[in-house]
Amino acid sequence: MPSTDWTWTHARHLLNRAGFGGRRDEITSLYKLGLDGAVDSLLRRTDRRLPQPDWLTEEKPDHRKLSKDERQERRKLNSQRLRTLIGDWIMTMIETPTPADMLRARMTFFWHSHFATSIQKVKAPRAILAQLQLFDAMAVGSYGKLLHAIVRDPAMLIYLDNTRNRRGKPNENLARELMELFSLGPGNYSESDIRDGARALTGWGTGPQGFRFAARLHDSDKKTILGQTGRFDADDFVGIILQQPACAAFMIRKLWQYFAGAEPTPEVLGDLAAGFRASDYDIRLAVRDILRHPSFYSDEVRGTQIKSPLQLVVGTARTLQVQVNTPKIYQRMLALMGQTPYQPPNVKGWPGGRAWIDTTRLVTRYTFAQMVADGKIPGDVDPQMRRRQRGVQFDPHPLVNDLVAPEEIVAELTNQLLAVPPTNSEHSRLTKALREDLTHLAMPAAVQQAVGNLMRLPQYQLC
Amino acid sequence: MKRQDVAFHTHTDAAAVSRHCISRRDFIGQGIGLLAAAGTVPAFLGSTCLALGGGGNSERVLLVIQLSGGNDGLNTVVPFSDDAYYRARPRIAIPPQDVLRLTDDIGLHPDLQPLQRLYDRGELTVVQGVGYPNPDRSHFRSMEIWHTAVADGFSSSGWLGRLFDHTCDNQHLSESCSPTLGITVDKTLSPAFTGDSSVGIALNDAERFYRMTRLQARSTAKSAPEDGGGSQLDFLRRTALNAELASADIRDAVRSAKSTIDYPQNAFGRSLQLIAGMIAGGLDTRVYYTSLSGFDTHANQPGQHGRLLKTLASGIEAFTQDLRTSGQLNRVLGVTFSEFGRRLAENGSNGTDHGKAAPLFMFGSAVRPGVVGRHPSLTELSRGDLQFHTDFRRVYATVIDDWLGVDAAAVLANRYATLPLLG
Repeated sequence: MPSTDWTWTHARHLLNRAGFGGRRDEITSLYKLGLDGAVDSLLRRTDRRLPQPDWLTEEKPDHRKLSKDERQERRKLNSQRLRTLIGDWIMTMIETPTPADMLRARMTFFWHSHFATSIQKVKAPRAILAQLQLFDAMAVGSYGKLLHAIVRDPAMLIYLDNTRNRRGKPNENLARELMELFSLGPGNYSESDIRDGARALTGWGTGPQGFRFAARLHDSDKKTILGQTGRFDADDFVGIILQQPACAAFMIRKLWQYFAGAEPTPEVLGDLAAGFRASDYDIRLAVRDILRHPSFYSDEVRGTQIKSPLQLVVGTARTLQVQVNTPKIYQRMLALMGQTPYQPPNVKGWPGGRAWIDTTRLVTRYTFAQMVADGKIPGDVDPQMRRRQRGVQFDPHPLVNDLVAPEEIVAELTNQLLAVPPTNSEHSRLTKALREDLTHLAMPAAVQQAVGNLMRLPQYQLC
Repeated sequence: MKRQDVAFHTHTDAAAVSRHCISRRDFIGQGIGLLAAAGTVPAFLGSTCLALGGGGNSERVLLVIQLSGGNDGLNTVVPFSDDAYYRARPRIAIPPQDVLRLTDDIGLHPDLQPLQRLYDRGELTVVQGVGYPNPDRSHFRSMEIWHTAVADGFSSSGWLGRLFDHTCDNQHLSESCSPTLGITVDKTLSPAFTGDSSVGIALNDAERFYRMTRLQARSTAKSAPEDGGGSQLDFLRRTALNAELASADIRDAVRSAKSTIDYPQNAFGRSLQLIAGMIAGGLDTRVYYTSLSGFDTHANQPGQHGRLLKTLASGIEAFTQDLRTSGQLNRVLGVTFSEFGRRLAENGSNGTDHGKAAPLFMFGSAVRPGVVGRHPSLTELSRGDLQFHTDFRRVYATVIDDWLGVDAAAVLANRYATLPLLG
C-alpha cells in the first residue's frame, strides 16, 4: 500500500485485527508511525508473562500412593486450578499494555485454536500450563520448531491418544490430525501415510516428568511416509511434513483467515506461502507480510470479520478498561457465546465466521452489552451469573473526554468503537436515546448506557 | 395469509396457533416504527403463521439426532452370529449372551434396552450399511458430507437449509419463511441448516432465550435486514430479527406443554424434553435437530460407549413416551446418524479407529419396523472397514419425500431412490 493511502481508519483496522482494538490515543499513536512502522511496533519483542500459578513449585504427589478419596480430592483441585489458570490467562489478555503485547496474545491464542486441546480430556494443570507456555514462547517464532515441539507436548500426546500409540498396536489419532489439521490439510496425504505416520509416532508419550520416549514401545521398522521410506520416528515424520510445499500454503491460509477474516486470493496465498517457506517458517515474517499486504486493507477485508467471543469480550473489557472483581464473569460470557478457552468443540478448534452467530449466541452478546452498561448482570437472565452480579464497572470519561453534546458523544463513540458505521437512522436513534437518558442520568451513567446501546448494534459484532 | 392460517389450523392446536400469530402481530405493532425508520419492512413480517409445504404433510415433524465423533456401529447393532466379529475384537466385542437379539443374526448393545422395547412395539427401524462412495475418515470432512449431502465436492449450504429454501421458494415466499421452521436444541445451530433463507433458531433453554432476547428489544439497535444481499451485516440483522420473532412463541409453547414424563437427567434428555414441549406446544417447526457427542472412542471404548448408548436410548424412550401422552407421536419421525462407523478390528488401546459404513435408527409410530438391508460383510472389507450398501442420501430422500412431502430431488440436487422405511 502506498504510504499516502495510510489513514487513521487503516490504523484502527490494523489494531482491531492484530490486537483487540484500542482507544483513540492508541489508534492515533499507531497511525503516526506509518504502515511499516505500525506493523513493526506490533511485532516488537515483548517480555509480558503468562500467569505463574503458585502451585508450580509444589511437589507433585505420587498418584499411585493416593487413596481413592485423595484422588477424588486431587481431581477437584485440578479442575479448580484449570479454571483459575484459564481465568488468569483471559485477564493477561485484557491487561496488555502495548499493541505488541496484544498481538502476542492473539498469536498465543491462534496456536491454541490451531493445536486445539481440551481440558475435558486433559485434566492435568501442569500439562495445560506447559502447552500454554509453549504457545506463548513461540507465538511469533518458528513454525517448524513449534511442530516438532507439539509431538512431544504432553497435553497434545494425551489429547490425541498418542500415549496409547505403541508398536504393533498403533493408534492413528495424532498422525491423522498432525497432517489434516496441523500442517498439510486434507488431500495432501493418503490413508497409508496416516498408518505409517502413526507407527513413526509410537512410543512418544508421557511420564511423571512430562514428555517421555519409550524405546520399547517404538516401532523402529521401515515406514513409507509421503513418498519417503526409512526407519522414521516422530521427528523424522515432522521433518518430512515440513518438506511438503502444501505445508506453507496451508498455514498461510489459516493465518490469513485469522487476521483478514476472509479467504486469501490465489495470488496473495502464492506470494505469502513462498515467502513463508523461503524464511524456513518464520512466523514473525509471515504475520508481518500479512499485516502489510494491500489486500489486508481492501474493502473485502475491512469491517467484514465477525468478532470471535474472545475478540468481543477481551476487546470490550480492554478498550473500556472494565474493572471486574472476578474473571469468572468473562469465562461465563465466553462459554455462553461458544468459546471457552481450552474447551474447543473438537480438535479442529473453533470454526469461526458465521458459526459464531446464531440466535442464542447473538442475544448472549446483548446480555454482555447490558452487563457492561449497567455494571451488573441483567436480572434473571442467568442464575449462574447473578451470584456474581456486582463488581463490573468502567469509567466512560476517557472515551469521550469533555464532550457534552449528545451528537458529538455518539459520533466519538462510533468512531472509536465501530469498524462499520451505523446507518443514519441508527445514529439518530443512539443520539435520541442518549438525550433522553441525560434527562434523568448523570453524564457518566448516560454515556455508559450509550455504549451499551452501541454494543447491541450488529456493527459492533464486526471488526 | 388468511388461507395459510386456516391450513395451519387444521393440523394443530388452535390456541397455540392463535397465540403464535398474535405475538408476531404484537411485534409488528411495537416495532414497526423502528423498522420503517430502518428503511424496509421485511416481507416475512407481513405474513405470519406459515407452514412448510403449505398443506399436504405440513403437520409432520422430523427430529434429527447427530451422534458426534463416529459411532461404533458394530457394537451398536451387533452381528453376534458372525465369528469374524469376535475374531476382530477379542477384547471389546459384546458377548453373544449380552446382545439384545432383534433377529437370528443381529442384536442391540445391552445398554440399548429402551430401543429394544421400541423395536418390540414396532416403533424402531434399523437401517443397515449406510454410508457414501469414497468414504472419508476425517471427522470434519465426513460430518460436512452428511451436513451438506454433497460427497464429491464442496457445498456452502446444508441439506436442511436447502429444504427450507426450497419450500419457501415453492410458495413464492422466499422472504417469508418462518424463522422457527427449523430449531436446533444444542450449543449452536447445526451447519445442516445453512441456507439462503437464513431460517433456523438455536437455543437450549426457552426461558433464558426469551429473557436475553428481551434485552435486545429494549435496546435502540433494532433494525431490519436491508437488502438480503448476504453481507455479514444483513446476516446479523436477520439473526437478531429471528430471535425477536421466535422467542416469545417458543417460550409460550413450552409453557403450555404439560409433560409428566421423567426424562434422564442429562443434557441430552433435557434437549429432547424441550423439543417434545415445543412439538406439543404447537410451534410451526418442521425440523428439530440435536446432538450427542463423545463417540470418538479411540481408547477404553466399552465403558464410555455403553454410557453414551444408554443416554441415547433412555432419552429417546422418554421422548416417545412423552409424545405418545401428548398425542403427537404419529406426527414425529426421529432419525439418528453419525459421521462414520468404526474399524472392524479393535486397536491397541481397547478402542476403535475411524471406519466407514454403519447402521442408523429411525423411530416413531410411523416407521415400518424391522431391520432394513443386510448387515455389511465382515470379510469383504475395504481397507479393514465395512462397505456401505445404502447411500445416506437415500435416507434423506425418504424423509424429505415420503415424510415431509417435499420434492427430495430438488433439495438433494439428484434423485435418490427412497427406502421402504415408513409404514
